[in-house]
Amino acid sequence: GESGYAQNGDLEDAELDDYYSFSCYSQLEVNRSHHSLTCTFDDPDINSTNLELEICGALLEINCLNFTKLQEVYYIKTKKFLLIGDSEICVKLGEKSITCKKMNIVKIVKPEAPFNISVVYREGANDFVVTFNTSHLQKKYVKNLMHDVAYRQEKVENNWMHVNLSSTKLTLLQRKLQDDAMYEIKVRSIPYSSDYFEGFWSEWSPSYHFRTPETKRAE
Amino acid sequence: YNFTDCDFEKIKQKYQKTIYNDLKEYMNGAKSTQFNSTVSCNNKSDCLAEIERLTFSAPRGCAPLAREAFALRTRATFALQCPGYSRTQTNNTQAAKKTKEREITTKKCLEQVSQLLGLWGRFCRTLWKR
Repeated sequence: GESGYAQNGDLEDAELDDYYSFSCYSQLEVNRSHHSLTCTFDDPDINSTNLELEICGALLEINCLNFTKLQEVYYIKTKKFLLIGDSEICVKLGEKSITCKKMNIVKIVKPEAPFNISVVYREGANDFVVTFNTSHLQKKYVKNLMHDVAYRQEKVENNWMHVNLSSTKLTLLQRKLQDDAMYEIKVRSIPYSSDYFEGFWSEWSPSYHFRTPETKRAE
Repeated sequence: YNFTDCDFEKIKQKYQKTIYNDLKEYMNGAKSTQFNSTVSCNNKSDCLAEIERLTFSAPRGCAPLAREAFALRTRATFALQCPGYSRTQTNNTQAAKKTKEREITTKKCLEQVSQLLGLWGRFCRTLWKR
């Protein structure tokens, strides 16, 4: 044909895959031992009224599971993820699978956002101790996370400084910050890169705001 | 089945990240030291053969363990990381399906699972020496 594509339906299949493309993330032990899987269509304008999603493969004792639909989000809460090997997620119109995608639940993990970030000034040590908490410390599976602490001086737009760490405590040296200035600080997490579990950044924690002290200049 | 061609590192990772939690959960606080170790294995593939035997065989007085999460994950791991393993498995899965009700976890079952923890531990240690 003029378009140079193969005559058979390849062009249509490729278009279908593109049109109905979707993205998913998993959260393990998000509610005690229940896991969740959340999928959305990449095109927000898609008419998803009669479209269903189904996952098959790499499930404990069952072959497939249907997603529940909440507005434009497709959602599963279950204990049945095998956590070993690939699953296949299909977009279905009635009984017909329109497009399918192979996914591995343990490679699309989005950790829960860290919380309770706080900053304590230590006058004697001339530094600020930053601590925060994460629900992943108590989990069985996704325990190894990398955290991204971001801080900036409030009036200075988008001048975020970043510190990556695997623990939940760090110190900022006073001399690295402006005197008598308001700062904003927040943190997010991602599965540790070389771990069995991989995936995406969590949402940011709520921000914490603190003011640096005025330092008395030597006369 | 001969386990010599398996991807041992990937098996170890899947054990440490998923199967281990299941075995510990099955023991549910019972101390694995409460049981004498009565099985052992010499090398990586020998350990996997023993693990397979103990996981999928039904000791007297204990419901077959093959329907437990750790057994389902063990089978999935072998199927993924050991070439040709799935082809040898069709009858075992049928046998597992025949069992209806899950009997209460008897002492016999706990002992068998405690032996499994020992075998998996031994398997992981054989990979440290590499």
